[in-house]
Amino acid sequence: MSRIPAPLRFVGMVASLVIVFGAIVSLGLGALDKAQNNGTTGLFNLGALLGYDLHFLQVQVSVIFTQTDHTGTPFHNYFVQGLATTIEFCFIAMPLALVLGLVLALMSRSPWRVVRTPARAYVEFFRNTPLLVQMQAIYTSFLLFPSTFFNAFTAGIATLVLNYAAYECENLRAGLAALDKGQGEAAATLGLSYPQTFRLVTYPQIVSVVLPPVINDLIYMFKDSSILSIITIAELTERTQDLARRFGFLSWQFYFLGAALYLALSLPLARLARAVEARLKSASFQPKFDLATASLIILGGMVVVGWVCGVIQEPISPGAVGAALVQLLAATVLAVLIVAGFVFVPGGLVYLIGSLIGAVRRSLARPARGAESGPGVAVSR
Amino acid sequence: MGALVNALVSAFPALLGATELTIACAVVAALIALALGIPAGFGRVSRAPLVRSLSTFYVETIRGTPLLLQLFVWYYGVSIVLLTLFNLDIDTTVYQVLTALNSNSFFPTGGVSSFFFAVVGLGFNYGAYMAEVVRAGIQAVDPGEVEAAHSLGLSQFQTSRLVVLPQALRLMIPPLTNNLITLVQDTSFLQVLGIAELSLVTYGFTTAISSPSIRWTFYGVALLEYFVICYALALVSQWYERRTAHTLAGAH
Repeated sequence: MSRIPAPLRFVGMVASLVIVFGAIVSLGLGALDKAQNNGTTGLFNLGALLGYDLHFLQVQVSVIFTQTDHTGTPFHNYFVQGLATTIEFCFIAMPLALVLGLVLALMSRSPWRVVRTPARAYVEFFRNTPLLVQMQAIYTSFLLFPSTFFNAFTAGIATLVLNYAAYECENLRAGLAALDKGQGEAAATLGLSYPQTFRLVTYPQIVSVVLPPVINDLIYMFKDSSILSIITIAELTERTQDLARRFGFLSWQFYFLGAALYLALSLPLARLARAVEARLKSASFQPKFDLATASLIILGGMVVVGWVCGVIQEPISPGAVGAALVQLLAATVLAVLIVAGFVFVPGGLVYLIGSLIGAVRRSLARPARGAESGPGVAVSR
Repeated sequence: MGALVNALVSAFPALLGATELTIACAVVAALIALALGIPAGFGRVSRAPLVRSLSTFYVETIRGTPLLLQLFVWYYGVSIVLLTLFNLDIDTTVYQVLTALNSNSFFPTGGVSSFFFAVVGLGFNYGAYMAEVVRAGIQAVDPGEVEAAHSLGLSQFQTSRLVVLPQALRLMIPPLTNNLITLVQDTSFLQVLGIAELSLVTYGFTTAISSPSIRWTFYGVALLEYFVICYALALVSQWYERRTAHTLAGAH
């Protein structure tokens, strides 16, 4: 049992479940037929059920592989393009979300309240409101000024980045909290500067804590990107819906196919997350390369792959490549600007109210504490 | 400003009703999720291979596919399968049941099938996530304690009830609350099946109004409502965690 590789076992499991389910259903149908119509067929008529399924499967396969839409795009390209768009959005949004999440995590660990409060307000707000409503709010606002900066693409990227920056902030904060304070002091004693300490001492330890939840979040983002279909982005769900609308008699078969494609990508990713977690937790784990550089390359590579996924969907010309690049840059700038706006405007309000309350409290509590502030000064003199 | 206040005041009853519907959907879906998730969570640590593989299949399939697509599969797929295989139409069935109860005037004009499949789909989705929480809670209990309970002569059922569950439940509460928070947020997905819950009603109001400030105010109100519900749940979870922190530390 344990020698069979995991994916094969899963396929076997699915196949056996289908067979068992089919047998039960056909048995039930046969019994029903006998009870109602005095049918003469046998109770166990697997052929009838499988025949029905096989007929539709045949039609579906022929639709996907032989037919084209009015522009001449074959329907199997719909799935490829949809998958490419989904990957494009995930791979561009995730690195950006990680970078902004790191900024937010460092901000929320700051000793100064003026830096900490806005970041906390941002994170709590975005973690406690639905992604879909955030997306609709951003998109309907963007619709007021349609341009290179404000369109469905940048709205989609901005939503994913804004929402996931909050979650990545929490992951990274957990990683930072797991650090031993003494190591930073030891590194400072050894004469390392703050950037050096971060790169060589702090960072590798953060990675081992943060990487598994980040891969999990990538899986979540992969699934959550399906909501982009609501704002007219032609990713996998939208393409599936499109096919289901075109072929109404095959609609649920296409929905099942789309779900199977999502499953086919997210299951290996989940396995990868589990493997990475096990590897990082094992005592013998020794990174053979500079982790900081490696992760920068990986994150940059993800953005490039995402951008390429966007480019290959259209006939390649310098104009199309340039337009895709401009879109990517616009989305990046916009996401950064929106995060900054969200952190500093409502966060600033929260801070103002909080500091006012604090000032009132302190002014009320001053007479009692006034006498105690003396000794500290006296000792230092 | 006057237009803004007028728009908000005239929209208030609709928004209130939509919020109620959101909460009702969330509660029903959470109950379905718990009813599915607890058995599936136990099934994942079961020793019977069929039970284990069935619950693993359920959990992995649901967790590997997006909720949006699952809702479409329920509404367009499962309904057709029920109709063709079992000649079962949710609308007709509910209407017949209500007629038998002499109260079919309660039957909504739009039918109930979209609501039914939306809530069931949401419940099935979160059932898988709840199952993972339950499994993690059960597996977090020290296996030595189970062996000790067995050696003291407790049966399997008694061990579960008296030794494993009291500890596992305490560990499960915070992640279950987290799942409830995301469940409340994900009720916004029900808008794709035309359920008039908070996000769809807000969307309807905002697309009808071209003034940017009124649009943003409406979205601000909707986001604030979700925030209040979810943050209240988060605070309850944090309070519970703080209250049981030292008890759990003592248990390990």
